Amino acid sequence: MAKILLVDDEKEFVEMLTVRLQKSGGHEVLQAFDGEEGLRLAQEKKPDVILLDIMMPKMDGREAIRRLKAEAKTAAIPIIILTASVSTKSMQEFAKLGAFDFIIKPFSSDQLIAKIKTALGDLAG
Amino acid sequence: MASQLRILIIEDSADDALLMVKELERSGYEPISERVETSEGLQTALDRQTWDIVLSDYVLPHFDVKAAINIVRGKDPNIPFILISGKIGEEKVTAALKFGAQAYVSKDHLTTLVPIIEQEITDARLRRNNKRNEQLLVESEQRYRAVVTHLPDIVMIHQAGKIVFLNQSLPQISGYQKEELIGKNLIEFIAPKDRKKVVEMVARRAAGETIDDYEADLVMKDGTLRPFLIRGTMIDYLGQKASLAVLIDIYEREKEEKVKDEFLSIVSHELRTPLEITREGISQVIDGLHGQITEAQNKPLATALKNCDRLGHLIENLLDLSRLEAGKIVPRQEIFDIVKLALETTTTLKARIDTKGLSLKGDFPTEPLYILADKNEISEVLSNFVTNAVKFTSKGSITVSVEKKEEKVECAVTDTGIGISKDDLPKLFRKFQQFARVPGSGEKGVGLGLSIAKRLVEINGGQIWAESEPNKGSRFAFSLPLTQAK
Repeated sequence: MAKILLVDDEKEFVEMLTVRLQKSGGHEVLQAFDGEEGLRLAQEKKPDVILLDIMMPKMDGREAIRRLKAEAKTAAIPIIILTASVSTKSMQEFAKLGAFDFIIKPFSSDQLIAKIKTALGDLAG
Repeated sequence: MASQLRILIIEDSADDALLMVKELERSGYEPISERVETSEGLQTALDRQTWDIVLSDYVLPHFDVKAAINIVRGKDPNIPFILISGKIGEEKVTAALKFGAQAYVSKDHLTTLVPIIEQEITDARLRRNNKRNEQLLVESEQRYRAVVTHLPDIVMIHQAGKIVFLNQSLPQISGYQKEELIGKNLIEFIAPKDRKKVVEMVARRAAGETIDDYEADLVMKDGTLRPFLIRGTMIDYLGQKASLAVLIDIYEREKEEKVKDEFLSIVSHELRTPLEITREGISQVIDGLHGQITEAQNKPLATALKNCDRLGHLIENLLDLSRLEAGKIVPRQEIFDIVKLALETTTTLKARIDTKGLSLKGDFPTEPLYILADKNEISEVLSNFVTNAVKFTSKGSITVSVEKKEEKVECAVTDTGIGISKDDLPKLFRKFQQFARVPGSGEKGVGLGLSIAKRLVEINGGQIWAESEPNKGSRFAFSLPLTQAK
């Protein structure tokens, strides 16, 4: 069981995914609906993994990663980007920003859970 | 045959006029002549018809020679006017010639009349032609000037490192005065980031290479950058080698593309998010996260889930095609063995798709065949071929083959399905084309797969085609140039 911070402005999506992560993965889920809130929760609660949307109000995902990576307290937390579209350029950009992985919406929950597992394992190893 | 000659004679003596006519007849001409004595008579004769030549006495009782010349010139500036008179003295002859007469012939030496007339008629014809040519030249110049001046694109001639000719467009777009541009090197106005590219392109073109159009930003007078498509060719300009360039303003086009990209990005996000939520909700119920469900409950949910995936796939295809069309997808090319890729793809597909009991076979050479292409894209094309073949084949087999053909490798998927009619074959690779190859099969797409496949093969430098015979089967193939192994 891990502590997962889920940051996405789509409330229904967050709710739905929370149930999945709790019931299928047995994880504890922290919810945030914009970048700022996500950043605050990350600093306060120090999650094991962050699932981060890119297109969000207030602070978008890119800026949130930059801040998370710049802050000593949160720099080491693996970030999985939840994105609706990906290009070669954006993939390189995600890697450069220091994201651990990304997953393209729509995705199957199995895929996501597997990625979370890898991120956690990576952290443990 | 005798030549006709239309002669207008200004002469008060009918006998003298007759002498002139006789002189011409003696030389083999058939003169049509008219004699006038007054300015009115002259005017009327000129208005009535055209004349090859005007012969005029110097001493006229009713009006003078100057007036006669004026009237004739007013009608036609090129018609030869020959003065025929008794001895009048060099001074008067010179004055008359100055005033516009072409020649003088003494009445005492009428034998010289015919050679002079012939000479003057030839000269007049030349004068008329020259005039006409000049006119044509002026018209042609005006025409080209109008085209070049009013062309919205920038037209520029660059010679010996300087702009030597420019139409109005660059001054209008850039805010620079024409005088600030002429005599300068174009490179001064190219954005620093693009200078190296432009210099290289210009050098390559000057060396005789054919260069495709390329894009570069120009710096406007207010310091902003504006994108242009540059198209150029080497020409001979005023006897020296020069570069003729047309610069097309693509600012609006780029802006539109940006809007389109943003639109696509928003659409993809907005379409995928509700789909994702729907999919996850259904899948949670199926997975029993909210309590066990019965087989009967599972069935419609499984169908709903399958269709969520279908919709997701469709959105993916639409986005892929838009990106391909916008040139946003650049193949990540590497050298790899296509035999191995085809084998792997076939094996994966066999496990993944429901082949409906069809046999999926491979026909591969034993030696590796290397190509330079994007591995994922080529694999996608092959998958598309196989998936299509499965869709449209109810019994028999599907064969994936790779074959070396001269300097190329040909990769094909052959099925024993229902086939495609001759009329439909050419439409296959167009967007949104669907053919009910299997009536009532329920297998539907939106007809994007093959048009994506075509673009993917083409951006990797290959060709794609299909062959088919209704009720016997189809063969979809692509070929790519062979390359050396790493």
